[in-house]
Amino acid sequence: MRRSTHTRITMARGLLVLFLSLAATAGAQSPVTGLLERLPAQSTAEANQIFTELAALGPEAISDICAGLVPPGTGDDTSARYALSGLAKHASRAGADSERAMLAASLCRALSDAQPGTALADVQVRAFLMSQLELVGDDASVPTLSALLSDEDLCEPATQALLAIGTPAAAETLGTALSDATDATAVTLIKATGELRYAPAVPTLLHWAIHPDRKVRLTSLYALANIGAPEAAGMLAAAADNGRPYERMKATSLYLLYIRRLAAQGKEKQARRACRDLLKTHHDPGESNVRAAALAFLAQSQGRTAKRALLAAAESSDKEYRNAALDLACEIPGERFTKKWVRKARGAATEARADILAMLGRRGDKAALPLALKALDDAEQPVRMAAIDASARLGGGAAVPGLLKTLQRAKTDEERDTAKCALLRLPTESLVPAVAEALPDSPADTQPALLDILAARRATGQLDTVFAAIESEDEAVRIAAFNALGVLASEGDLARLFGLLAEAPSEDEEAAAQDAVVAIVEQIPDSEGFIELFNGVDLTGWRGDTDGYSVEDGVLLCRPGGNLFTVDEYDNFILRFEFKLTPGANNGLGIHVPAKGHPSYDGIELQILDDSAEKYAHLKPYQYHGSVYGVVPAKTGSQNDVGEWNVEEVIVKGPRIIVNLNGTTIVGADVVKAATPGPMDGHEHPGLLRETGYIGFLGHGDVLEFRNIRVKPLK
Amino acid sequence: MPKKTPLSRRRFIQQTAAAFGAFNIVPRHVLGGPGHIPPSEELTKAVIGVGGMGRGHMRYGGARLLAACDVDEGHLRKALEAAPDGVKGYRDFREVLTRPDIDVVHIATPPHWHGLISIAAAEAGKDVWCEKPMTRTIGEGQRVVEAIQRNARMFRLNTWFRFRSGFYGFGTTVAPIKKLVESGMLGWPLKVTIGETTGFGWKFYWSGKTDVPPEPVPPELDYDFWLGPAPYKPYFPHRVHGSFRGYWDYDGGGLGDMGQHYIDPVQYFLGKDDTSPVEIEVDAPQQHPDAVSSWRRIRMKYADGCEIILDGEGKDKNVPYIEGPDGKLFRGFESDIPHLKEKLAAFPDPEPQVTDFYEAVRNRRKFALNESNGHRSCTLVNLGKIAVRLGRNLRFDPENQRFVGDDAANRLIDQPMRAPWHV
Repeated sequence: MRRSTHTRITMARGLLVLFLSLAATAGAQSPVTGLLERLPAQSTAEANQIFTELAALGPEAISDICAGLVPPGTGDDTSARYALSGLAKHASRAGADSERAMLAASLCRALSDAQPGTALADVQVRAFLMSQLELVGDDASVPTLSALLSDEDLCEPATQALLAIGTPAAAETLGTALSDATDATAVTLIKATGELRYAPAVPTLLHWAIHPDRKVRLTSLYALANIGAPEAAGMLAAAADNGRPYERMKATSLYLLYIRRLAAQGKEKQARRACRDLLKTHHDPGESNVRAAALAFLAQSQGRTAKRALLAAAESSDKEYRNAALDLACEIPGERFTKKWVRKARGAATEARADILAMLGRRGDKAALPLALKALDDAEQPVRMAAIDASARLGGGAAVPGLLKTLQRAKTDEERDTAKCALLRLPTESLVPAVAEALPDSPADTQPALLDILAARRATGQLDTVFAAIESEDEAVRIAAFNALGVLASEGDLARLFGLLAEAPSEDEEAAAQDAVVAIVEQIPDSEGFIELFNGVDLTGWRGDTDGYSVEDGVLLCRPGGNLFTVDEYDNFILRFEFKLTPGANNGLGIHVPAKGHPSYDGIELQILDDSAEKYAHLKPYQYHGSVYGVVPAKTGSQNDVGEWNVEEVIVKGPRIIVNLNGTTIVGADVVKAATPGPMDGHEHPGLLRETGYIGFLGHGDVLEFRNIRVKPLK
Repeated sequence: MPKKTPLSRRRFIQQTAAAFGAFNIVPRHVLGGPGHIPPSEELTKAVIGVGGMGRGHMRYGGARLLAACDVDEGHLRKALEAAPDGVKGYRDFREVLTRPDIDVVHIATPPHWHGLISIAAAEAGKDVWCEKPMTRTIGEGQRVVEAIQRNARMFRLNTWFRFRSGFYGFGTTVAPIKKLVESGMLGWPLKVTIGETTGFGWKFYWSGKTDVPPEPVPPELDYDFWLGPAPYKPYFPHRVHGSFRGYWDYDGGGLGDMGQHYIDPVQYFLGKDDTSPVEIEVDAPQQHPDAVSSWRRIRMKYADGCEIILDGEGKDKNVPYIEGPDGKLFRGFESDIPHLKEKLAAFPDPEPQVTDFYEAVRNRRKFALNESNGHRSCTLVNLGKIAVRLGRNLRFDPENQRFVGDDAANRLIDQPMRAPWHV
């Protein structure tokens, strides 16, 4: 799209250049032409240079450019539009008054001198010129624009330019034009005089305000309201009490606007009276916004009595109105006011009590803290919920004991979650010791939340407390404890966790324990006891089909080859490596492989396979990438696209094998149990019972690459 | 996009999962409330503008759809065909607003209508769910803030990264980034770079066309109503509907489209919800008066020295997402601070936010992204737009929300509207 725009612009330049060349006297090329060829400028610096030069060429150059404008669809004047709008932006900068005045005058001349039948007489061309005056026009442009206000087609763009100029002279000229307005130009001029608050237009506006057309009428009411014309007060009040829905709604908002203008003129008393009337006339449930607006005005203009009004409004059964009052109260500081609200809350109905507490929390005056803490024991849940939030906001660390008690007593998940989130907003030094102390004696349905808090704050000092929770009789507590251990425990705790993993009584708990193991292993950096199995230079440390594998650019390439094994044996370990597949590639990771026999059966093979290949559309579940071949199926969907590197980590501890691919655990099983009563593929797998052996790549005649192969033996 | 090695990619997924696994989604009821609502108190909604995003708004759960409104009969017909029974169609949004049975008005029109309809809805006593960017000008945004607050309405802007969803290339929500910033570990002031390197593309394909010949307005489109407050310009198809973002009269290209998605969360974690930058620097080619094109760089600086860089070129492939005097945060939540996650865990969670708009409506609690902070983040978008359009650097007064020493720039804060429209 941008390319085509660019082409178009280039063509446009050509056309305009041609035009200007013809316009220039024979033989002498206009200097404007050269400058226009460089548009659009590619940077601010370039724009500054071009437009400084263009402006220096003076009014004649500008009228040349204006003469290059054409009505849309009749030719390409893109570079003239770039030139004029660029000039306008450039000349509108601070400190360029004479340049700006020259440009504005030139644009005005193009508007007023246009000959009928020429492009400059076209409405759209003239609208474009006037839109440039929105940026650079000033009082000197007013007469030119003024002359266009009686033209039905030009009145609107001329008015927009005058609105942008926005000076008293602009307002006056709009007001004058309004006295001669036709039905076609009236709405435009009414709106504009109102917007510029031109008071001398009021008599004319009053006349238009009784026009049969709703648009004219309402626009006039807007203008009268914005001017704050007292003559229109009755009319506005009557319209605001109108029965017709749209007119009532619109007129009411205008009446409120009028009231604000009235107050700004110093007529506060009248304005307040009008607001109080609105509170009476607009009692429909759907008009609580009007009552809220009236209340907001009263609160703003009344000073001390405003506080009384807000306290009274808080008793309203209308939730919208009540909360409008509370939002206003939230903005008024002061401890005495806080105390009034505290008293108000004590006597309030349930919903209002909750609303007031929420407001006091947001308001942030600590004087409300005792109320908030006390309300944690309120009989009504909505009040307790508001109290939880207010206590956390106002109390900081001091809210810990109260919120902990709330958490322990919570009857619903909703309340428990809310209390837990509130606790997590409090400072660690108050929170963690209290949570750890509360944990052992807390009810079972509370303990998971407490364990979550210890994990969130990485309370490694509380590791023993968390391990103790593993002894709980409640499964949800044990699972939460495993989740916490994944965060808090470290390598030294792995043996204990593997033990717990082996004894896990349910699948859920086994999954939680395994996740904890994986999380801890993930945190062990390569620098902590990992040995490089592949040096990136040659096959030192490897045996077997060393001809089928080679080293290219630090990568181990199976080119293709067969089986390649480590020289040493490994029993329990963490193995990390990366691999990159070619389409349909098949290989395998051998572990616990004996010196003789079939690696996949007499040892264990973890599948390495492009299982996205079409030829593997009908694999058995235990044949997908990562599977313990023939025995444990892997979760699919974590492999990167063929040709991208994949990161794999294999954890082997006794019969437990965990495979993590690109950050997702795709296999986690006790392979001996998994093969009981028999392996899935129906083959014998004596290798599952082996406790040690070689690690190796089991090539099946396909090309693929490995790198960063390192192992850490586990005790 | 630079490719991460698989190792680092895996590492960050695991580190962030481990660091933030315990981060709790704040439950929807966290700020209290009356609990569950019986069907008789079900909220109802209308959707205004059902051509593009509006079709999605019609399907959002949580409130019953009663009305759909569009100035294009074709759009309206298609929307009604897809709508459940009983949904009424309208051409004029003002008629929708007079229906007493509608609680919430969704606004999915082009941005030049957002301010007007938001204000009208607030004056009609409706709560508002508005598409981004919030308003086409800063002035309209100010008027929306006033109208929403005066009428005690609930307002939500339709972007969500400050309170949910994975934040582009970070593998987490914004919450841990907020926590990191609040922890002070990166130091102060901070510089945030939003561009392709850090995971944010600026979608410059939202560019306009120049010198397009006018065409007849299709009979199903009320083009004058579509233009509404925008200046009259002859119709051609690229100007409206799916491609309006390419024209300054209605939006601001990729910056208009993605700006609030990308920048609002930054404003949130920098704690700038009630202020705006004081300096705007721009590097861009000259813009066409009508059609939006691309820009290279926009730098916005707050009074305390914090900076937001909108990087349109993505040339610096090593630029951090957040840079402070004491540390850096890169895309993927990687950092030069050792043991970041362990250190971060010691700090309290950020304040909870109301993340369910209909719950905000029921309980009258300000939504996470509301008229007030939404206006400030839209102001960042509009400041960028004005600097790009004018092609010059600007100074801004966040208190009065006016440019300093640049009268012409101030004229772009309140652009004139075509009658009878006014805010």
